[in-house]
Formats: sequence, structure tokens, C-alpha cells
Amino acid sequence: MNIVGLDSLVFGVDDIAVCATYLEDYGLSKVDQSATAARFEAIDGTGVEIRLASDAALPPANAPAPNLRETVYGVGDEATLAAIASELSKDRDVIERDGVIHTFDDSGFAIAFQRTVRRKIELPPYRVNVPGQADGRPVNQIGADPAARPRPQTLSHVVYFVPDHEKAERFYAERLGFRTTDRFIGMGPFMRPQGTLDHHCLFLIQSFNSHMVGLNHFTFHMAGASEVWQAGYQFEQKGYRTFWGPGRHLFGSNHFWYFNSPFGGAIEYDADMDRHDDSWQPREAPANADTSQIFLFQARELWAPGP
Amino acid sequence: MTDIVDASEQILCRLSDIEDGDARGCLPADGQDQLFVVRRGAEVVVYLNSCPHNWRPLEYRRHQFLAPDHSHIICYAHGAHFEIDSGYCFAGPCEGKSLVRIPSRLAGDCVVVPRALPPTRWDG
Ligand code: FES
Ligand SMILES: [Fe+2]
Repeated sequence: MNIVGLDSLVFGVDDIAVCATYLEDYGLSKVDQSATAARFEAIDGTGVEIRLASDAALPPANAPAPNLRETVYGVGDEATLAAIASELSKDRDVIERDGVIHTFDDSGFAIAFQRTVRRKIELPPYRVNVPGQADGRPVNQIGADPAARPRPQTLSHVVYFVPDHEKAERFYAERLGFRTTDRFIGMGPFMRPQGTLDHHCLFLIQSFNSHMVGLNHFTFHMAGASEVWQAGYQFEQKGYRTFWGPGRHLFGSNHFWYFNSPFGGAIEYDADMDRHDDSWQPREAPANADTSQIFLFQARELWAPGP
Repeated sequence: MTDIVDASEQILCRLSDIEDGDARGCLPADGQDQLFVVRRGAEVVVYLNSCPHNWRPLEYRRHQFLAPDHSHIICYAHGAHFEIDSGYCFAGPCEGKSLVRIPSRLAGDCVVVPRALPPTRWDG
């Protein structure tokens, strides 16, 4: 099935204005905003929609507000959309509205599928000077620009707390053709749909009580490590609070920096994720500090040595 | 002002710095407020800024510790909900656990806590 990745995440929140300011400060572009809803986009048109948690247009919540209310996947062609509708309507209600298919996964998360809104993006190369390699920055081109405002490029992945990670994985693998790329033993799998090579656009985490439900985190891809660090540093300077990072994960190799958020889970900046095809053999490891990252730092105030 | 505070105590902030019903992060170290205060009229409750789920700070932005209607405390990492008076987590990943309460008193307009505080931790 040609599911290319996440198109949109829809949140039910308590305060539209606060969440809108948060997303703008994070670096997304505002598409529209009213007193009851707003939409923000990355460069390629993928993004985030926020509505008041009480909005009757939202699918029912599976966690206290604020939280994620729907995950919208983009598909590459009509045939995939039809295949998903016919497969999922075998054992659950599937509603089609304006070309979008809405239903629920086996863990109680609302999911939807549509022809992808992703625009093909052509961005200037992310240039680094590496000894022994061509293709660094052109001579006299400056690398460090304090005025640069790195922008999220595309919606990368979403992470759920699920009541039963094996059952949750089976749904995405058997019903929607997702591949498991790697796995934390006893915690859950990293999964990618067939329409993308990205290491994961979905990661599932086993809950250990009935209140551990809903969103764990979500993130957008940045151009590279330097953009993660610069965007994250600027975000922290605005008073936003780090949850974890900056650092670099092992599974997926993505650079990360997580922040607390008013969306029910954390938000991340990530960059430089591994890409895999079907020849890849999933690895597995226990989830702990050593397997969760290869390094971890903490931001500090700017500083200089004295004379 | 210092003469009203014992040598074993420290002044966190002023009551008048906090709007009634609101919260405030205090005692920054390495860019992180170690404690937070919630004001209820002429009374305060003080907690360690460390969520019993992953032992991380609760707020998403400086001083933003509460639900928008100020009815409870929220950890904005994964949405744990806590009662203001008791620090008890009634919903979320650490349901049934509690925030670490710091004994406090008011000395005039000053919110006073002990100098010796439990360590903020990175893991549980
Ligand atoms: S760290 Fe507070 S809810 Fe996860
Ligand atoms: Fe992530």
C-alpha cells in the first residue's frame, strides 16, 4: 500500500491562542486561525490542525484533553485509498467524507487517509565543509548565521502510548502493510509505511497502566543537526522547556531535541533519519539509556571565556 | 527582610509576584526552575518541578504549570494531571503517584522554603 507518511495531526486543545503562538514559535507557518480552530504547516504542506477539545467535529478522545484526536496519513494514489477502505471496512466502521477515509486503529486512535497534500519541495542543499569531500559550501559562503530561522520541512513521525504493543503492531503490519524497522523489546516497534523509506513515521510504546494513553510525542524533520540545534536553542530562549535533548538516537540515527508542549505530549525537532528498504533486517534491543541515544547534551546560556 | 527568615530557610519569591490561582517557577539552575509555587488566595503550595513519570520538569513554557482554567496542575511532557492541593496524579502515565511537596510558609509577602531540598532527578 502506497502510504507515503503523515499528512496531518489533529489535536483537541484547551486554548487555541496559546497553542497557535507555540506552533509559530516552533517554526511552522500559519495557514488560518479562528477563535475555535487553526492550521499550521511545514514547508511541504504537511502540518498540524488544532481545535477546541469540545469540538463535536473531532473524533472521540481516548485521553484527557489536551491530546491528539486524529492522525491523517497521506497516500500516493486512488487505488491505495480504495484498498484501505475495503480492507478496514471488513471489521470496523469506515466513514468517507470529502475524499478522506476516517476510522480507528486497534488501540483506539482515530486515523484517516487522504490523497497526500505533500508538495514536492526543492530546498537549497544543506552544505557542510568536510575535508576530502567536494560539495561543501561555496568559498566565501558563511555557515553560521544567528539570524537564520530554521523551518520544519515535513511532518516526520508520531508516537503513541498503546495498551498492547503487539496487537497495535499487527494492525499496522497486517492491515496497512507497515514494515517494522527496529524494536525496543517489551516496549514496541518503529514502523514505516511502504510509501516512504524513512526509518519510522510511527513508534508504539507499551502503556503500563490504563491512564497511560494517547500521544507520547510528534516531530517534524529539519534539514540537519545544525538546524535542530539552532531551532531548539531559539525555542528554549523563548522560554519553552526541554523534555530531552539535544542528542542523537541510535534506532533511526535521527538527531533529536524534545520539548514539553500544550498538545498532550512532547514535540520534537529531528533530522538526518536513516532510510531503509525491504531488505533491512529489524534490530531489537532493550530500551534503556545506552540504547536510546549515542550522545546527550543540555543547552546552556551563551558564554565566552574572559580575557 | 532577611531577619524574618531562619538560616535554614530561603526566600523563593513574593506572594504578590503570583496572580491568585496561578503558578510560578522558581529557583532556576541550569535554565530549569527547580520548584514551582501555586497560589490560592493567601496560601501557597510548593512542589519540586519534577514529574513522577519521567522525572522531568512539568511546564511547557516558563511558569505554565496549570490547566488553562487553573483547576489542576498538568505535566506538559505527556499530560499527567495532578490535584493542586495534594499533588496527587489522578490521570496520566503516573496515575496514583504524587508530586514531591516542599514544606513552605509565608513570612509577610515572602514565600519561604527550606534551604535543603530533595535533589531534582533525571530518572526514577
Ligand atoms: S514526564 Fe510528566 S507525564 Fe511524562
Ligand atoms: Fe521521535
